[in-house]
Formats: sequence, C-alpha cells, structure tokens
Amino acid sequence: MSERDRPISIAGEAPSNAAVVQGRSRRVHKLVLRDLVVHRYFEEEVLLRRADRIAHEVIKADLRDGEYYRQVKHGVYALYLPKLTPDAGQLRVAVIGERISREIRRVHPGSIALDEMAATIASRGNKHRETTPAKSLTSKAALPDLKEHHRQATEAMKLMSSGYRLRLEELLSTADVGTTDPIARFEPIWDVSRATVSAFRCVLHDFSDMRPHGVMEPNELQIARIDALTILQARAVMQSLVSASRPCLVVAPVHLVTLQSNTYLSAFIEAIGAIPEQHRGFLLLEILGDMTEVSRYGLRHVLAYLHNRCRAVLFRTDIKTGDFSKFTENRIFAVGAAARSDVSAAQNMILLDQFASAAKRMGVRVYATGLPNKSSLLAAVAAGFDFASGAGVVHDVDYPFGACRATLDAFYRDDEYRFIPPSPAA
Amino acid sequence: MNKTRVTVIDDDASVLRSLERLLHVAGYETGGFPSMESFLASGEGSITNCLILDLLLPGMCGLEAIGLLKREFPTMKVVAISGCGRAKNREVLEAARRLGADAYFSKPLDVAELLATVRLFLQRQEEAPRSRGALK
Repeated sequence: MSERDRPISIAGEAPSNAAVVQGRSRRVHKLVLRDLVVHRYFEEEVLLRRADRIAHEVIKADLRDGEYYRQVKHGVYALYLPKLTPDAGQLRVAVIGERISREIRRVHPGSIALDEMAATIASRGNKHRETTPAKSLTSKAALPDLKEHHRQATEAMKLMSSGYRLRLEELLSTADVGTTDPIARFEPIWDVSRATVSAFRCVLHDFSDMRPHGVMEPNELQIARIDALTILQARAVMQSLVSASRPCLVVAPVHLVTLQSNTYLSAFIEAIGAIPEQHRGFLLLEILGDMTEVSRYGLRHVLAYLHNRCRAVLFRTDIKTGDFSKFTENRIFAVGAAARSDVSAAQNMILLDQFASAAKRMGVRVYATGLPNKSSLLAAVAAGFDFASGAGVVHDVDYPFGACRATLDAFYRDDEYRFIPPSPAA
Repeated sequence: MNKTRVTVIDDDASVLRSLERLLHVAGYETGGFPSMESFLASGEGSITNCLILDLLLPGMCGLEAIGLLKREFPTMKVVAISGCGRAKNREVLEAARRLGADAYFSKPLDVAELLATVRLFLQRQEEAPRSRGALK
C-alpha cells in the first residue's frame, strides 16, 4: 500500500462538509460528496458511486507532497493536510470539493451543484424566498450553510416538479406564433438492407429559416407544444394510412428537453396516449438532442416512458458523436445523424463515415437524415448506414405514400420516383 | 497510329496517379480528373474510349454519372470502381451494373484484371464498326 493511500483514522463526524475532524488531528479534514452535488435523475447512491471515481482522480491530482487522503465510506473522504492550519486546510478542501463538483457536472450533465441550485431557487422568489443566496464554495462563510441549502433545495425541487405538470390541454392552449403547424412535410426513409421505403419522418419547421419573419428560436414551452402537436398530427396520418390499407411506419420527432422536463413530459405522454393502441405499432419516436446532454441513467429513465408506447425509439444526435456506449445499454433501435449543410460534400462524406464506423463498432444501427444529394446517399450507403433519408433519397412529400420497394439504382435513374405510388391525398 | 484514350476519375489523388501511370505504361493515352464535374468541363468525354470511374465522389457521384455518360457518349466503356472492402460495396457495384456500367471492380483493385478488361473493351471497340459521330 502506498503511503498516500494509507488509512487515516477519523475520530468523530463533523456536521458539515469540509469540516475539520476533531480528535487525533486538527489537520484531518472531511469531504462529503453528497453535500456538493445532486443529480436530476440519479438516485443518491448511484451518483455517489460514480462520483467516487471522479473524486479519487481529482483529490489525487490535487494533493501535494506530504498530504494524504483516504476514502472513509461511499462519498466520504478524509484528507490529511499537515502543512496547513485548520482554517487554511478547510478552505483548501472546499476548493478541492468545488473541483470535484465541477468535474462531476462535466461528466454527468444532469448533476446540479448545490450552491447553484440554491442560488437559482432564491432568485426565483418562490416559497423559499427567504433562502439566503448561496455563496461560493470557496468562501469559508458558505461552508456551514451547505447542509441547509441542500435541504431547502431538495424541498423546493420537489415542490417545483410536483406543481408544474402541464396537462396536454393546457399545453395546446398556449398560442404561439410559428408553432401552430409543426409538420410541413414528410421525409421518406429508405431501408438500405431491405431495399424498401418503409417509413416517413415528420419534418419539422426549420426555425432558423423563419427568423427573418420574426420567429425566434423556440423556448422549452414552444418546443413541448410542437412535440405534442406533432404526435397528434402523426396520429391522424397513421389513422388515414391504416384505413387506406397503406400501412407504413411514421417517425415522430420529440425533443430531449421535453422528455427531460417533468412539466412537459406528462403532456407529451398524454398526447401519445391519444393514439389508439393498434396504431402505436406503426409509431417510432425519434429523440432529438445532444447525447452528451443526457446521462446514461437519465436516458434509461426517459426511455422507460416511451418504450411501451411506441414500436421503437430512435435517437438523433450530433454527427460528430463518437461514443455510443449509452445506446448499447439502452434499447435504442437506431441512432441517427443529419448531414451537415455548413460543410463541403467531401467533409460530409468523412463525417458520415466516421459516425457509422464508430456506431458499428458498438453494434448500433445507424440512420442518416438530411442527405442533400445522390452523392451523399451513396456515401451513406458505402459507410454502412442502415437507413437513409433526405433530398438525395426522395424529396420530402406532402403525405406518406405507404411502403414500397426501391433498390439503390432506382434512386439514380431518370424516372427515379417511378416507385412512388400516387398519394392517397391526391 | 492514334492511341486509344483511357481516362480515370477518382477523388483519391494517390489512386488517380497510380492508375494514370499504369495505363500510360500499358500504352494508352491517359487523363485523370478528381471529379465528374471537372471531367465534363474539360470536354475530354468526346475523345475518351474507356473511363475508369470511382463511384464514391463528392459532387456528382459515379452512380449518377453512369446514366449521363451512357446517354452522352454511347460508345464509351465505363468501368466502375468502388470499395475499401465495405459491407455494402457489393450492392453499390451491383447498382452500377444495373445502371449500365460495362464492368465493375472492388478496391483494392486487381490491376492485372483491370488492365485485361480495359484491353478487351478497346479491342472490341476497334473491331466493331465505329460510330465516329458520337466520338467526334
């Protein structure tokens, strides 16, 4: 055992984080992880288990010669800082604590630092208005208040999450420009291995195009409203396809922010519930969001709501994503990426190739959307994408036309759309 | 004696250079282009007897180009090349065949086989009554 890892006995437990442990030595300080950070989804034990690994690394990197640490139990550390006075040592432990907190929040984005949370709650002026705004962890004065902040923050979080669950009706009644008609078109999706156009993705308005007309980036409420409206429109489409005996899969996008918010999730689930059970077999939900924004546990939590309410769940993330481990553990049917419009065709080919290769290594199915031309379609096929969509495959259509067969060469013939039967709407 | 012209289109500069050199050594007049657009702009389509075409190109891709080439230069032989040993390579090459490619090869190329195919095509072209109009 190295000297640094040698256990240090602790005589008694101090009430707050970074408190100096009385008894054998006033140079031994205690660091308690649960006083630093909480997580939106993780149970405390889960977070602590993960945070322990991070804490070990940060503390090891931070200690100087002659200083030692030892893990006392889950999330509790004793630091022996012999060269510092008790006050200086306490301050130093607070700094280390803040580094750990920052690192945990970086690795697990759903984590919230307690001081931040307390400050947010205080500024919202809710029931806990009397909460003292949190001081920085580096400040000595802030240290004794941490436990109290934690308690108040947890209570406030409970109140906030229970009191703000919007019902679908309420969500739909919030009128907003640009969000009344979320689906403009449908994007046919080509199943490469089965050589069929078997699914249609709802294409949402591109808000960046609408900026000149006074429509700004939608806020969370607007996004949730768009998601709910999309589901309701998809329901109508599926009903008409089934009644026209042209069943095909319909992919409805839903934003990650909607699923992560207790306020809007219930309304979204209510919208899915409006789809008859027999039609849900044709519904695929496509989560739109940055994969790095969701923790593994958070993703599992979100998927638990979706899996039994639709045929399968897709996840569209950034094309530069290279780590697909979260998807292998959760039941995500396929992971997608959109071709980028701001890079050259050659760069897009490289990005598509890298994305597909990384996903295939982890055994994840992949789909590409927004392929702008036939060249990018071929690049996607060559890279190993299982599904492809975009103007390079078939231009967006007003209405899904049902499943039909299409081999690769069909997309490159002059009569390229010959396989498309006339739309039932026509 | 007029040399027959074989043109290569590949966005990979090293493949392009090697194939050009190889065909030159084999006794053909050669030309090389990194993209379909530059080939069409050069006007060399009308003097090319055989075209070795990489399918995976930025801009107009090989599959898109085959139909156009067959329409504009009906006597030109098109040899499609593609690959890197990917799983979907066979499907891509099969699509090229269905679209009208005269032959197709997977990368890494079997150079001897490629040269034999080019030679065979050009020999047949010599023997067949030439429709010079299309080439001029």
